[in-house]
Amino acid sequence: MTIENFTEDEHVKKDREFYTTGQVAEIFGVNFRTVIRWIQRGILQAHRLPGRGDHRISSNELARFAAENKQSFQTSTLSPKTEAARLPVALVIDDEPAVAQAISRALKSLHMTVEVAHDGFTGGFLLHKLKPNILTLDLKMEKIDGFDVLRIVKSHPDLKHTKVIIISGDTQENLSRANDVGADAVLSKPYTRAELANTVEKLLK
Amino acid sequence: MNTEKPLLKIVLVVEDDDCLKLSINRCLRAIDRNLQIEWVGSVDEAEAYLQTHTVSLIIADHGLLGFRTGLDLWNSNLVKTSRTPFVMISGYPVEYFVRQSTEMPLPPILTKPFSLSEFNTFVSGHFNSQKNEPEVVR
Repeated sequence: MTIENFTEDEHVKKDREFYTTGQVAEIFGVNFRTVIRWIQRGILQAHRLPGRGDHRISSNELARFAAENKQSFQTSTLSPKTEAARLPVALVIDDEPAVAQAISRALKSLHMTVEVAHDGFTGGFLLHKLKPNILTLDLKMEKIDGFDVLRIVKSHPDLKHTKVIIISGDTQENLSRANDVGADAVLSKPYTRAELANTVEKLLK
Repeated sequence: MNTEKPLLKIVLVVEDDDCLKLSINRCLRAIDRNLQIEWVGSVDEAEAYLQTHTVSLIIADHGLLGFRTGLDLWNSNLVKTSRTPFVMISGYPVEYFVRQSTEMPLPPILTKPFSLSEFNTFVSGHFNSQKNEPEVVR
């Protein structure tokens, strides 16, 4: 399939190969009309759905745009005072929305600012944008290799302060392997809220 | 002796177009000749200025230098928490900014082209409201 013969049905089937302007706006923290302006200026390539005129942006194009313009979207506008008072930030990467929501709620109850990613692209972008204090990561996801994400976080100089908590229903062998790869904590599903809270508090100290 | 405080003190204008800057300058001087007008050309510059200065009014064009637009400045934490009166100027009508089927908080939008009296009425009117509540456009 090429962009020229793209149809909306294909988009629905192929979960997240293409993004709407609204989704792109959410990723970059801007208004959707700003994304349309990028398209009009030619700095972000998109195509229009036949008849409707809605724009769709491919994940490859989004990755290129994000990589080329990463510096422009760093959260560098906070004053030092605001930075100090900022709540700890957590990023939840889990491809099951219900599970991600449960983890998110638990972390918010610990007075954290929480962002959630269900796919590798959004997770990667948010990791670099937020540089979170805490990352919760499932190992067993359909399209994302949790071990790859863990290795990337542990080897990237910009993310050296990010503590990784593996929250997974995977085998004991793989959970131990996660420790060897560098996970800061491992929680086996099912886990209790108290266990998550204790783990986060220890890591944030 | 006139003991009234001036209506406007410091106005931050976020605009990169020189012609529009001239027009806005003329319009603001017609409201108050003693205004202090600060000029920046992008959202990044505006945010940098607002971190260290308090202003009485922000006037921002929708299309600006850099990646972000006047709407993104309106939505930024700095502007939201300071509750500074905000006017956005755009060549598009208000309806252009409304996403169909959703209510979306928008700043007051002055559509180009505008006359001096339209600017005066619009800016003075929105500045005089103490709380700069967003207009919810259906």
